[in-house]
Amino acid sequence: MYMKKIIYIIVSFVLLFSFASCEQMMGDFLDKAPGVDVTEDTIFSTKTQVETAVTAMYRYGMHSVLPRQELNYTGFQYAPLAAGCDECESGKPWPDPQKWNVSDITAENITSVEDRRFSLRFIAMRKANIVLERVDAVAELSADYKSQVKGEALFIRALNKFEMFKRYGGIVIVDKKLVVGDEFAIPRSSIQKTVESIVADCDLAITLLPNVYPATMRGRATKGAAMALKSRTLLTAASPLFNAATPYLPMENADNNKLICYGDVDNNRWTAAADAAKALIDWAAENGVKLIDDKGVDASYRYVFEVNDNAEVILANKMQGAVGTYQVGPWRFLVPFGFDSRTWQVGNQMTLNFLKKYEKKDGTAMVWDNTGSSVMPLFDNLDRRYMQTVGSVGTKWNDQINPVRSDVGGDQYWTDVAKGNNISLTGMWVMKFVPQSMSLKDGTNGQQAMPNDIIFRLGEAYLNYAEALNEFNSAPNADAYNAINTIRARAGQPSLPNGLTKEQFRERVRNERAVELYFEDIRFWDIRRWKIAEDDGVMKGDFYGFEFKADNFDAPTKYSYEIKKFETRTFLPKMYLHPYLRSEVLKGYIVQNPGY
Amino acid sequence: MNVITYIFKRKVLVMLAILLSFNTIADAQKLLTDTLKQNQKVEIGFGAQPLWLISSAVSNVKGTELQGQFTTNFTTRLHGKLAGLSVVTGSTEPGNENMTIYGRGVNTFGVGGKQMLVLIDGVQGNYEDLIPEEVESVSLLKDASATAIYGSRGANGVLLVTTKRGETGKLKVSFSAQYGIQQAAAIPKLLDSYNYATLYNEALVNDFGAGKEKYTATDLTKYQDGSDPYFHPNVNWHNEVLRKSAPISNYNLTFTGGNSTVKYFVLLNQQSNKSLYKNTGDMSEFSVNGSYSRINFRSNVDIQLNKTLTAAVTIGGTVVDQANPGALSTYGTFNAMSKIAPNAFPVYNPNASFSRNQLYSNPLGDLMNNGKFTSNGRTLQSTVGLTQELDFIIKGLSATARASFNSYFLSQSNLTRTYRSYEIKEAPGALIYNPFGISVGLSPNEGSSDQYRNTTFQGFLNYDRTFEKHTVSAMAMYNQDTYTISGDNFPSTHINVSGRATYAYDQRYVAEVSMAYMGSEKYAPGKKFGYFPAASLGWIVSNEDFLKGNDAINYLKVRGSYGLVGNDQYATSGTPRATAFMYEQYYNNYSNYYFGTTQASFTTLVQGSPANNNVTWEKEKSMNIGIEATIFKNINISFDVFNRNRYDILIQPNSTTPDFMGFTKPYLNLGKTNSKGFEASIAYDKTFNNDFKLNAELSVWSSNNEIVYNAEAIKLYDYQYLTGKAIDQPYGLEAIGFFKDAADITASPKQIWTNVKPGDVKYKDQNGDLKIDGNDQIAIGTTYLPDFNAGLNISAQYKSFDLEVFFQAVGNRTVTLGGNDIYAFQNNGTVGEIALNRWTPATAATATYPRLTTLNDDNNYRYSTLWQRDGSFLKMRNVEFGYTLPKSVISKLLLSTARVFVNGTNLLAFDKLEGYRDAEIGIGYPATKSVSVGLKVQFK
Repeated sequence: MYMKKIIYIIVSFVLLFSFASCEQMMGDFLDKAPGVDVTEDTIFSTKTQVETAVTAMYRYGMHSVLPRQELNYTGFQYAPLAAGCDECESGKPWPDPQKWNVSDITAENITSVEDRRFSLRFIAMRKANIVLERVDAVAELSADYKSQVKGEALFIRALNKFEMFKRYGGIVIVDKKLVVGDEFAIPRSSIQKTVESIVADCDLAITLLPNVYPATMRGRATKGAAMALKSRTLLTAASPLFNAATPYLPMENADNNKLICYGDVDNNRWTAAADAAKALIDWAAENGVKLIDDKGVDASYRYVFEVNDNAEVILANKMQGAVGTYQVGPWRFLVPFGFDSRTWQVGNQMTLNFLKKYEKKDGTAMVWDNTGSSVMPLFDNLDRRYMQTVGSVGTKWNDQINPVRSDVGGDQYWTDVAKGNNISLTGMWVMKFVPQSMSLKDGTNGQQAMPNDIIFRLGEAYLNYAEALNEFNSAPNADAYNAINTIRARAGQPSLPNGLTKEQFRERVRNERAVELYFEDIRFWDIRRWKIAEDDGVMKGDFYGFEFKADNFDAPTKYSYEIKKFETRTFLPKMYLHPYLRSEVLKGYIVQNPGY
Repeated sequence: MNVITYIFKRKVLVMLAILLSFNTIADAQKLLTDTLKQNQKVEIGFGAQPLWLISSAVSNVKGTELQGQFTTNFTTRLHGKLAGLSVVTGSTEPGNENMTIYGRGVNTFGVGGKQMLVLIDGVQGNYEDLIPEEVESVSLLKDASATAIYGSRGANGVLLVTTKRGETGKLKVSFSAQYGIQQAAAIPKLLDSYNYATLYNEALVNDFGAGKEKYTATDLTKYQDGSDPYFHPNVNWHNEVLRKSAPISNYNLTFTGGNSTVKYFVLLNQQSNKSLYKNTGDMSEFSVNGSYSRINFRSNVDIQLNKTLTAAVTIGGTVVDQANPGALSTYGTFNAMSKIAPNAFPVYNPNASFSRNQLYSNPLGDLMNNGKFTSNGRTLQSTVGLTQELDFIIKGLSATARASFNSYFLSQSNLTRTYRSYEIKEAPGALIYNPFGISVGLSPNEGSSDQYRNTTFQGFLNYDRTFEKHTVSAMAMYNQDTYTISGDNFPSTHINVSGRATYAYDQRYVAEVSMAYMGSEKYAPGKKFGYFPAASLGWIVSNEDFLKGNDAINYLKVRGSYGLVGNDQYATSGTPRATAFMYEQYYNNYSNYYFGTTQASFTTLVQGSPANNNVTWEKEKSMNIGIEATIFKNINISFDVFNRNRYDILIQPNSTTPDFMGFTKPYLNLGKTNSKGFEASIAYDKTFNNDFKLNAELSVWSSNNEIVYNAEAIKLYDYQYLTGKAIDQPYGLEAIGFFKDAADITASPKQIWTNVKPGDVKYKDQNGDLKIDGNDQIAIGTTYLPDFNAGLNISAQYKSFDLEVFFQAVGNRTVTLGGNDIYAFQNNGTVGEIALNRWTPATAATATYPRLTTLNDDNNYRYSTLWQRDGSFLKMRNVEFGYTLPKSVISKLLLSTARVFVNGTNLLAFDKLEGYRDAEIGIGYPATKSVSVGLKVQFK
């Protein structure tokens, strides 16, 4: 009896110690079946795989200019940001940019009203950081390719930092891939550090990026793209909103003012901006980037926007394939109702407040009387860029809309009020960017066009240069005049008169910039960095439009006009900078901008 | 082979470990001859124990008690029968019921899986298609001590279904037949054309001002008198599509018997449940009559191979045939019938074609013409087990090995087509027929199917011995199973080693420990296994000297348990969802980007949320205290109270992780919940004068849960936090009445969704910011899952007559009214009777429904207290009256027993929904009630 027991005990102890291998034995049964999973190592193993990571960087990192739905499905942007400033008014009352006109901007709605890409930017920067960290270790890549990819990653990162900077001021700088376990409590950096960080990224990218890509790779960042970004960044940094001793609104804690302004006025910031612009202009001359001016003064301007990949475009967003007007964004939201037989288009109408910036063909300012009997000759006599921007009343838009009838009762004036469609408030429907060749007929699928959102083009560099030179010097010099006259010449406008004062030249440059870069997601930010948004007629006060009437509705020969007010807009000083999203601020790392 | 030898050695080891604690070897067993119900054996995890020995919380019901309700779905029969089990009805459509069951409520949230583990004879399988005639008993294992051996699969409760097996005795053949008529119990209350038009006129005036009515007085007269059926139709679509009644039937044949060598139980059953749709298959060659029919078969055989070796073979299966006209399920048709206005179009056009309008097609036409949708599903459950008694090693020891294969396969065979119907318009001279659709032939579509299979291998060592005053019982087991589901899913695998040891001294003190060591495939290597221990104690007070022989208290037991269980289920599809293997870093293909002047697109690869190597299962520490008593010989009472704390629930850390991390937040094991509740039941069982028997049993149970921690993002206002509230607590606006007039509107906070008018719903400004928006949503009402359940069963027998009634009640739950029969005119829909209570300037003081509008109103139909209702109900689930024929009559027919009966199912329902809805279902196939007659005979 006892012997048996002892044997049992010994045997059991021996077996007990083999318990440990239990998991190995049984563990195999529980192993995950091998699959074709992709891990980070797989991605950084061959060139094809690295390309997918780089493509993803572009997909997340490039922002839109035209209205469409962003990547994380935060809803459609039905109108471009231009509808939130004095450039135009949206065709419908509900698109989000309308909220800017009534100052309905809060820390809760900012990411659904304007900044839908808030979290996407961080994802893009993370991708760029991952690429920067890992691309060197991939064996089969050539040195040139590695430089190019690193340059592209730095560019994407700098671009997204700039997009944050121009909206929020001082940003949270994340220059490495954060992992679970890193310190998250990264505070906002000052304006100084923010700008330095962006410029550093741009400078390094400039050395790494190639000048040009083969045609099959058009759309990737070139040296010029990084230069253009640097120019835009330095120009923004030198502008009165940031280049100031005191901020537009003080922070609660005065120590935090450096997050929203430099704290001192330094004229040299303008020099840096001017130099960056000049470098870009010089680079363009040597690398095939030039202003389109060989199609004649009545068509060159339009050519820049309707023909993809033309010589003036430095970088465009190519996130969408070819779509038609019946598909969701962007054409559907750009084409006004009444231009397509369906009624779901949105459209944008230029305000009279902005129209007043268009000079006459002779270079003098156009003064509009309150009423007039025939408006078409007046439009014909305007800066030629007007006709290339707006589908003007009585003119031919394309073969299907000939003529545009935005006069009272016309097809482009209104559809069914009961269904909630606006009547045309200003009579001037913006058609810039919409290819005239697109078919708008009902029943067919409509001809499709591939939208390329122009992010950087050479024309802006000239205007940057002229503005920066003028601000730095006590009066405009020859280089400044040359720069602005180049742009004017392309549009067929005469050169500016000599002998202008600094203030007068500044006004002319700003005016030129507004007209040339209309609708390109520039002015919304310009009126902020110049701190003119509060001025009457810019974002505040009464806004006017035209009401056109045909002399003979069925066979019109001329249209009379009457100026009518359609809206009063408001602008609160706190809106110079966006508020950070409330839920992010509540996490405790970010200091909110003043007034929210 | 190596695996099996190794495993066998492991088993011996475990058994030895237990044995080493015992010093004495067996004496003669002391037989207990009490006839108390406490000696009946009840199924517990992988074993059976007499009731007095059980020190964990188990509810049990016999298969015969589940035969009352006449339905074709097994889960429906469990309503109110097991204390602690909530049964939630998804729908009443035969074959698509979507029932869900919860043991002691839910105690997890977010992606955490709420499913219970249901085992049929110890393995997972499809339990919804079982029939009570093949079920011996159903046990609900509730507390940690009962479910710990299921390791990380047991935290939500475990339901054990045991099928019948043969017993020694003469062959018994029984046959039963039941045939009944079902009717719809509640149909949405819609208004007829006249009322629709009157209210529509009122709505137009509300929207656009006086004089904007659409229907003239002549129109209204025509609707009333029906003089123009084509252009002033008055169609009640439910009457056109549904018939008054549908048959349901059940036929069952069982053979059972056995001798010392073989015991068997064989069953064959056929059930049929026809749809409430009209027999459109008879009316049109392109349609099929809606029906559900199922065949169940079972063969459970126990064979004594030699003196110590027995084999148990369990084979059961079902074959289901379903047919539906027009569409795959009935939901779309019922939804359309609740939407189409009664005056939209007639059923038939003057030229006998089906009518329709621009927006809606003809529901009857669709059923008769859109094709036939049939499916065939088969289930097979097969288990083979061998049990070897090892009395020659140690008395009372036995070993069992079992292998099981379960399979389910559903294939669909659809014949679809489209057809032409016409919209008619009046025109001077002739009618215009505006065609829609084209008539084509039936085209087959056999593609879709669904399947799963489950293979299990189990090995047991059992020890059961009673000697002198000691009762010892121990079980050690090994289980491995693989569950493969169709679709792009990895199989789910588990391995566990579990054990339980129970010791009772003198039938007065009971102690039990159980433990599982379980691994699941979802977790990182090295982190797949975990320990789940539990312990319980019981004290049978009535066997103590001071209570022995007490007349009042015949039996009294006090017990308590505490232990750790786990839940490794979480959602990998739907919203919200986590990824299947969270310890691995995923990369996904995402939207393309274009490069080049030729619009060439390139693929992108995007990192998913960061891998979490430490991901693990949810854990629950659960405590249970219970009392069981029999008093005055006839009254049985039991009472349980529990407290469960669950932690390591998967949640996203929204409160601390900033967006500039640049990735989708991973799921981390941080969440916590708590759940408390009780179960109580009291039963009275008495035989009077041997002629009259009465049995009444009342059970009530309740559970309340609460989210303790969920790392939610910091909110602006305290009332917005989900922490501290019940799981799935609904949030909405608080409605405080209707706007009286323009002055009232100006004086009230601005409601941002529309420009409100008098008669619109006024909401409360919770945060005082003079704006009603999303921030004014607070916790309103309670959850859809009832907190409180009760079941009352009364059965009486007098001579040859018997009567049984069963009631079920639930409380503390909220339902929401919605859909087109509630929301008047929204989305071009119709209007229901509830809109008759609408606000008008005249009825402003008593109105309970906002002003009518024809436009889609963004303000009035938001989720708010106005549309919530108390969802408590009391239903008489079944009542049955039977008569057992006297032996003198039936013995001539070679029958040994015969019983005829009349059964009513779901005949009465009491709720607070004023008839607008059935308390359990929304829009869709209606709740049914049935009356049936049946016959059950046993042959000699």
